[in-house]
Amino acid sequence: MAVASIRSGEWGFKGVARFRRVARWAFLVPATAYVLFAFVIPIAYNLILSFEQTSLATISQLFAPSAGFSNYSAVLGNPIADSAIVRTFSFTVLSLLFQFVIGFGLALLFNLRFPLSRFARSLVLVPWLLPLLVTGIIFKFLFQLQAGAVNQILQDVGLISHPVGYTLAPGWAYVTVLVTNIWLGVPFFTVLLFSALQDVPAEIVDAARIDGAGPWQRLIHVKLPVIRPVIEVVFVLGFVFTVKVFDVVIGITNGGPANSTQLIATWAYNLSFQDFDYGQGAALNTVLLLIALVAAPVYIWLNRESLRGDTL
Amino acid sequence: MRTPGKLAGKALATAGALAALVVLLFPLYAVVIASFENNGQLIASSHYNFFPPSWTLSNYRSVLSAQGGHVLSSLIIALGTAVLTLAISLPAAHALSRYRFRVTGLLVGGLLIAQILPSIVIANSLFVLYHHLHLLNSYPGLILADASYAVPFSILVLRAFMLSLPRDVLAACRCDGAGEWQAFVRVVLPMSRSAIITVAVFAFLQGWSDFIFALTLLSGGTFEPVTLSIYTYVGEFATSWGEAMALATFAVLPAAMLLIAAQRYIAAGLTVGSVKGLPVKGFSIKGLPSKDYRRHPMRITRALAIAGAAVLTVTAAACSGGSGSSGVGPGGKVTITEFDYFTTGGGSQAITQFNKQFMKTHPKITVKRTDVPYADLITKILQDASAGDMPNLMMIDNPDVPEVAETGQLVPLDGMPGYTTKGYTPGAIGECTYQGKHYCYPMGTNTVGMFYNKAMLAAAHVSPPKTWAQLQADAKKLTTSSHYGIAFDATNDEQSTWQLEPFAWSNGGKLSDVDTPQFEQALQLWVNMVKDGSASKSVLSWGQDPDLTQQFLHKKAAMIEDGPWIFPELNAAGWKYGKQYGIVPIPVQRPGQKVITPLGGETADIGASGSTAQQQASWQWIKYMQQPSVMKKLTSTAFYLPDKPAVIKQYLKGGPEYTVFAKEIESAEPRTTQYGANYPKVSQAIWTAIQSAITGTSSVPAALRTAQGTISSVPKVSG
Repeated sequence: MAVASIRSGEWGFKGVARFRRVARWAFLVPATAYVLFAFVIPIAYNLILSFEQTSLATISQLFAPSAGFSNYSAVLGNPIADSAIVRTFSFTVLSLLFQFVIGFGLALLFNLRFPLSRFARSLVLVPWLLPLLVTGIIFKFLFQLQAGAVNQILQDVGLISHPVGYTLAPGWAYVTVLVTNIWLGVPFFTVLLFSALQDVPAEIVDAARIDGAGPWQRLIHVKLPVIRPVIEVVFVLGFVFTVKVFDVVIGITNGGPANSTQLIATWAYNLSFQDFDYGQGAALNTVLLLIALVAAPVYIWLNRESLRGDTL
Repeated sequence: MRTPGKLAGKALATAGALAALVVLLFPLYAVVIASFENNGQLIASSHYNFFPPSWTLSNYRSVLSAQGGHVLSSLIIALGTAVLTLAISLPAAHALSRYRFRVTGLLVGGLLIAQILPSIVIANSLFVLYHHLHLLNSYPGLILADASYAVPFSILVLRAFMLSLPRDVLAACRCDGAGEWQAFVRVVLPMSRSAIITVAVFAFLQGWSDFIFALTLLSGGTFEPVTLSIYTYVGEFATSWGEAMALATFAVLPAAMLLIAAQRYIAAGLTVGSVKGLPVKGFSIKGLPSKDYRRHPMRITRALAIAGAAVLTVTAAACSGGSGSSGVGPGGKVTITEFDYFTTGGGSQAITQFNKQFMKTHPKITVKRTDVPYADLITKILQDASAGDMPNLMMIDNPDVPEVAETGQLVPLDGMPGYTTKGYTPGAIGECTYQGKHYCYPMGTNTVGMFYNKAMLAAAHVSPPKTWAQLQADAKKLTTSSHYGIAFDATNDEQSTWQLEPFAWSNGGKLSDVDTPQFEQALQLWVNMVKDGSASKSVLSWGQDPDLTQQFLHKKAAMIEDGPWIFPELNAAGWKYGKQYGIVPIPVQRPGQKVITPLGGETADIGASGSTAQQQASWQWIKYMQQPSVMKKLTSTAFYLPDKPAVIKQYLKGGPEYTVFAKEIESAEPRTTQYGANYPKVSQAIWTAIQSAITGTSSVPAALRTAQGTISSVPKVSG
């Protein structure tokens, strides 16, 4: 406020000052309108839908008859939705774990500075840039039963004697989708953790070295604590990306076989757009929303500095 | 200080990084390689080729001719998303970085949360809301939705960047007395050039990669981005990997190009977007130089303006097509719209010829035809039905007729002049009946039979199967290391239910009682054939056409369950009925059982939203189709059977390959008799059970018990 009054003082006209204040708000109008349109209203409407009795016939009305909690009880009582929720959790945890271990390993590797490291680092980004659905389709092709690349490699190495129908058996289908998701998430972890490692001040590391700390100790006791905030952010964002995973599953298995790779997001899609029951789809969406929002307080806390309202 | 140990370490690190790269990049290599491989080669090959023996450009040729438009659509969407994102984010970021608002914290917090919201939640609501805003199937609607991926991220990144701009430049500008807008346009924008590029690249990639919104907010017919078209393509042609991979190459191209052209912006944006604002010492916006603004201060704004104008023009052009009217022109001329899903082959040819002939004999009526992919037609029609804006004429798959009729948007034909049920097979009338009224005439009929490879059966000394026991034994004997004995369709869609129905129905099974021995035995037969290796596990992903056809033609399967719609492919490959292949009715469990197959085929229906003149003209169109000579011509071009027994008789003289199907149709039944509009729900329960049983997730009885649980809650047709 102080800044504003000094500025208006320069001009000396109260009207101009008020005009300028309005002009400032005008810069925010498109974004505010957009946030309302694309986020606030859809989320609110999703809540409304989740309490309505919907069918294809009701789509022509903006508000359908009330259904009480029946959509929620129907969805949560459905064994497919149940296992989809559990599966979403296990899928998220396993994905993050492997993405972190592999991504951190690669980050440490690139941190060593070797010939071609720059070149290699830029190529690591590729999997992250592909459209997720296309990644799914590509892996469906690689993992296929007849003349699939993965089967061929594993047979050549001698790990398996007969081709496996990865996307055709429930357990394997889950593994296939998981491997794909890990593959496409590794670049994100690698790039962020690498850049964090680069920012660890050389003086601290050198001081530790002089104190006689070996490479392992320097990693555990010096570097890790320094980059901890980045690790936290990477995990929070990774959680947010993974918990709503959709395209990859649809691309590889479409939730099958026999719903064995159905996750919350894919099953919600099924309810709304295959069975045309938007109400039940919305109810399951609310569940997904609540799970995703668990990350919100943590994410905001990690970004607390940007909330302070600093200006130039 | 270079020690040998250190050098060795570096060499090891290089080797390790290269190994990691091989794993990370191999899938892309595989895509590009496969895109140059002959499709037949990919299907027939028994092992994966890391380096294909021969190369072809045919995949690209067919993809470019069929899918070139989708690449253009993706470009429009991606550019539109980038422009819209910048238009929204730049002013907001400027305001949030320059002025102190009481609500800054709230707004930034809101943007952080917006980044977390799952798109499927937004898509679900937007679908219904867009319906009322008339934004479905439109570029503006899709671009508005796609920007939701990019806007929160962009505002946060741009704001972080703008906060790091040198104070003195802005102060100098302020002293010059420049207004808020001028300061923003003349100083902030040019100085933020690199951040703007970063954000634009991200928004472009998000728009390009989007699948969820395209899948939910578009229903085909108008336009389709590459992601959606790959999905539809792979769904329809599960084994045409060569073409699918050529399409995938197009889809990954922009990512690859941007990575080369704007690598540092991408890496910087990734880092900044995720961790800027964190209390980590030393985090700066690396790779985003802010000094080069002096060179071409106005370039970005101009480039943005041009890009924006281009997108708007293309969008406007794309949106301006078609709008509703009474369809009646001067001189009593009537225009009617017709929708079908015969995108290729005989069906498409038949409808085109028929329309031409119809317009010649009815000079006052003009027919405008639109064809959309099968998967999209019913969604599109149901959406149109709920909006009260139906096409005048549509060709609906017969099991879907009650579901569409239920919306009240179909015109009953009973009142139309000259409507009759006489002279048709009972099934043809049955499948068009909903709540006692008749809504359509079939365009033609088909059903499934058992195709067999004559040479393979002769070589294995077996005769075509008549009973289940023979079928199972034959399939076993016909299986060798290079091919399977049998293939059928057990995919997770209606087609697998439709393929199991003849087995279950002939055995006395009913859709309303699937947890009975009659139904269990039928499903057990399928499971046994997969278990003993006579059928590939891939039946779970093979559609009946073209996947099963391809297996049959490439001699990977000795028998397939399929129908007359595959005749054109067999003809094209030079396969002749009675020579290369034969057809027998679907085997029954015990000799003497009657074969009961489900009726297939499309029906001609009239939409209720047209004017009376349009409805009457549409009726003329349907009636014209019912004349014996026209019916014979149309059905033979489309590879259907006629629906009038009198016409069938003449028909078989010219096409002996239809004999088995003609016989089956005498006792065939519509799928919707018991459940009407709710048939799709029943079908879904059954195909879920089929998949559970074949994958071994549950036993056959358990799978069908679960299905029965669902089916029991589905209301039957009353009366």
